[in-house]
Amino acid sequence: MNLLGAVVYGIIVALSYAYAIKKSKSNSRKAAKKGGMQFLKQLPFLVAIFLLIGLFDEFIPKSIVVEFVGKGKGLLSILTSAVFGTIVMGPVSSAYPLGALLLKKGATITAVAIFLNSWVMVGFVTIPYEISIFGKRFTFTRNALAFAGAIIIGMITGLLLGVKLA
Amino acid sequence: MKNFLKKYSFEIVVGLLYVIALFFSPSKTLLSFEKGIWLLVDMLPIFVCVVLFSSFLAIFLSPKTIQRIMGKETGVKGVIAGALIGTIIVGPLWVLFPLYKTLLNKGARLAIVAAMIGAFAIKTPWIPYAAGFLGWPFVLISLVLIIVYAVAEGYLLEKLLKDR
Repeated sequence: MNLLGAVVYGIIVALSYAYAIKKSKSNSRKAAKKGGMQFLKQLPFLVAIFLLIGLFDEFIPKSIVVEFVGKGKGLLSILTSAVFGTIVMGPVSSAYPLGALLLKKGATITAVAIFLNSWVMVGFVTIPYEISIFGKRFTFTRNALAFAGAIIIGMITGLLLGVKLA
Repeated sequence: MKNFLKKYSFEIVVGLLYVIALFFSPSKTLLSFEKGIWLLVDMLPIFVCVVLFSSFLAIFLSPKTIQRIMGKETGVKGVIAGALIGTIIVGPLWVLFPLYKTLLNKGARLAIVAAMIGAFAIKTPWIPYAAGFLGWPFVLISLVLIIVYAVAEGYLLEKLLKDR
């Protein structure tokens, strides 16, 4: 699964760079260099996040996860995951493996979807910065809509996948 | 030294957690380490693709190009185009706020800019990475829903803010 994804993705990247080289050699070099720098810059964090996930996997019992975001927790699990997703801030590279781990530990699809959606859609920590650029009304309205959207989308995702699995 | 601590605070915390875990159960700690490294190795090829594709988009898709596309389009098409463009823009959202503000100042529709911000939740280069962890059904359903919601959010935001 991952291997196939990597191969297909590799081909896409190769094609885009072939196009890039045709258009501008110096800019393609710049792009490749920028990508390489990004890779080196993010690598320590990536290693740490995967090691942390390994630790979670071994040491956190399933019952704790189920207690908060497991089946039959209804509204509580929805709110918990939305609030958690809003507060945490970090690169998406850490969001997806964390979501997968939560699923494995017994969280519902709905809860994980809401958690991930609010992670990427609502920017709690950046609110002051957003206000400074767009003003209070825009910022609060946008984040409120995004928060509601994260929950709605997550519930629909859970419903659709739940139906499919049943 | 202080800078180093600050820069790598997360990595240091994880390291400390491992030291603490060692006291509880050395065998489990070793297993955690192995699991983490395998996950990383498994994901590394896709991660390399992500950074290369992101930097390609960042350099070959200039804000000017985006502005040109958005200037041409109006109406529903423009808002949908805005949402789609939002999905290919990469980088932290806060870095992009000034760009969006510029677009607004240059006369872009509020609905379009709002849809772009909404759709930013989809990070195209990361899609295969996400699917590797969560599976394609999960990722594709979220994708479609977020785009639809981004367009709706654009219109809603415009309506709510224009009323006063």
